[in-house]
Amino acid sequence: MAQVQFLGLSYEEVVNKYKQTVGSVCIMRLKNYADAEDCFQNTFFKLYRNPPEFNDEEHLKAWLIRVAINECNKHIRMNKRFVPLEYENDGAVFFPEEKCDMSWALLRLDDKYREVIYLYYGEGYDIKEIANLLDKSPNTIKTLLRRGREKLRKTYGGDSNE
Amino acid sequence: MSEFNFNKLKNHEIPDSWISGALNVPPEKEKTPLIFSKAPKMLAFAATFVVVCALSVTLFIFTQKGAVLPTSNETQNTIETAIETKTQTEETEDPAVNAVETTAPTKPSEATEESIEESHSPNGESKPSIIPSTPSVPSTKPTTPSTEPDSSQSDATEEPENPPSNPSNPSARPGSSGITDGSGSSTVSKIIRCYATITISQYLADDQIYCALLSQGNLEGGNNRFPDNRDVTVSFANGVVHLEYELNNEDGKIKPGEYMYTFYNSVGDVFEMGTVTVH
Repeated sequence: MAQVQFLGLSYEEVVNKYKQTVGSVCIMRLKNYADAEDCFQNTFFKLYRNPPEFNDEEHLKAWLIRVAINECNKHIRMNKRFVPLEYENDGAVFFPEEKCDMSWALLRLDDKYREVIYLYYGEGYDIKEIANLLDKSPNTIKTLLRRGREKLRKTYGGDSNE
Repeated sequence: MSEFNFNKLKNHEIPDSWISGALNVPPEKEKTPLIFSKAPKMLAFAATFVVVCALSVTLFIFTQKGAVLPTSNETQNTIETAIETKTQTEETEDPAVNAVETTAPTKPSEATEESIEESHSPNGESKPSIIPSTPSVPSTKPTTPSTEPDSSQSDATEEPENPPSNPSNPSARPGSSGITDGSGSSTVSKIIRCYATITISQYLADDQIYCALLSQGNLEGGNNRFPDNRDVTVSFANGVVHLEYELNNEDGKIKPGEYMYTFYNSVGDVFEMGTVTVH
C-alpha cells in the first residue's frame, strides 16, 4: 500500500486516531456492530481513495464524521426492507448494560436525538458545528438537544449534567 | 436510578478486526467500459433500433431508386430489343398481321389523303388500313416538310432526333411530341382500331396506357389499359413505340360517325390524338 499522508499523518495513524470517533458514530447511528463495521471501513476507504484538501485536523475529523454519517444513511437506505430480529423487542441488545450504560440509554432514543446528543456530549462539538455537520439549523439542534435530554431522563433517569 | 455520565459515551470498544479491515484497503476495481458493464441490454436494444432504422432508410431509398430504374436507356433498349425480336418472329408467322403492324403507325402522307376506309385481305378477312383522319390536321412527325419534302413512309416512321415540344401541353414529359393528330385509325366491321406512334423516350416501362374514344368531348368508349388487359397493344419497332387500341362495337353502342381518340397515361400525359370514323 502506498504511503498516503494526511496533514503529516499516515493513513494508519489517521485510522488509529479517529477509529473511536468514526466507530462510535457508526454504532450510534446503526445500533448494530456488523453494519457499523461496514460503514466504518467504507469511511476510511473513502479517505484513502479520494481524500480532499484538509485545512487542519478538525477539518479532517469533521470530514470523517460527515462521511461516516453519509455511509450509515446509505446503508439504512439500502437495507430498509430488512429488519433484524434482534431489534424486534427494544432495540440493541448486544451492548452489555453494565459496561456501556450511557450508550445503552442513548441507543434507546430516536435516531435524531441520539446523533445530536452523541456529537454534543461525546465529541464535544458545539451547536453551530453540529448544525453544520448535519445540515440543520442551530435552533433545530437546540430543540433536538433539549428533547433528547428529556427523553434520556425518562429512559435512564438521573442528572442531565448539562 | 443511575446518573448520566456522558464521559462513558466514547467507550465503545472498536474491535481490531475493524481496524485491520480499514487498513487493508482493497484495490479499486477497474472501471470497465460502459458497453460491458452498465445496461448492456439497453445498449443492445439501442444498437438494434439504430440498425433497423438504417436498414429501413436504405431500403426505402433503394426502392425509390428502383422505381426509376426502368426509365434508364439501357433498360429500355433491352426491352426494345426483346420486343423487336418477338415482333420479328410474329412477322414471319403471319404476314397479314405484319402488314397491319407496319402500316398502322405510318403517318398519312398527302398522297393517301383519299379516304380509304377499309381494305380487305384476299381471304376475305377485313384488315384495317389507315384512314387519313382529317386532312386539315397534319401529322406532327414530319414537322418540317420543307426540309424533308420527299419523305417516304418508312422515313415518316422514324423518330426525329429532337421532337418538337408542345407548348400547349406543359405537363408533357421531355421529348414528348405533345398532342398530335392523324396517327391513323380505322374501323373494320365491328372492330374499331386506333393507332398512335410515340417516341421511345415518351414511354416508360411501367406506364399504364389508356385510350379514350371521344365524341364532342364525351367519352364514348375505351379507357382500356396496357398492360392490365391487352386491349392497348404496345409494340416497339425502329426506335418508336406503336400503340394500338381495339374496341369491339358488335353491340353497336357506338353509332356511326367521326370520333376523336386519345392515348394517354395514368399521369395524364397525352401521347397522341387522332380521329376514327365508325361506319
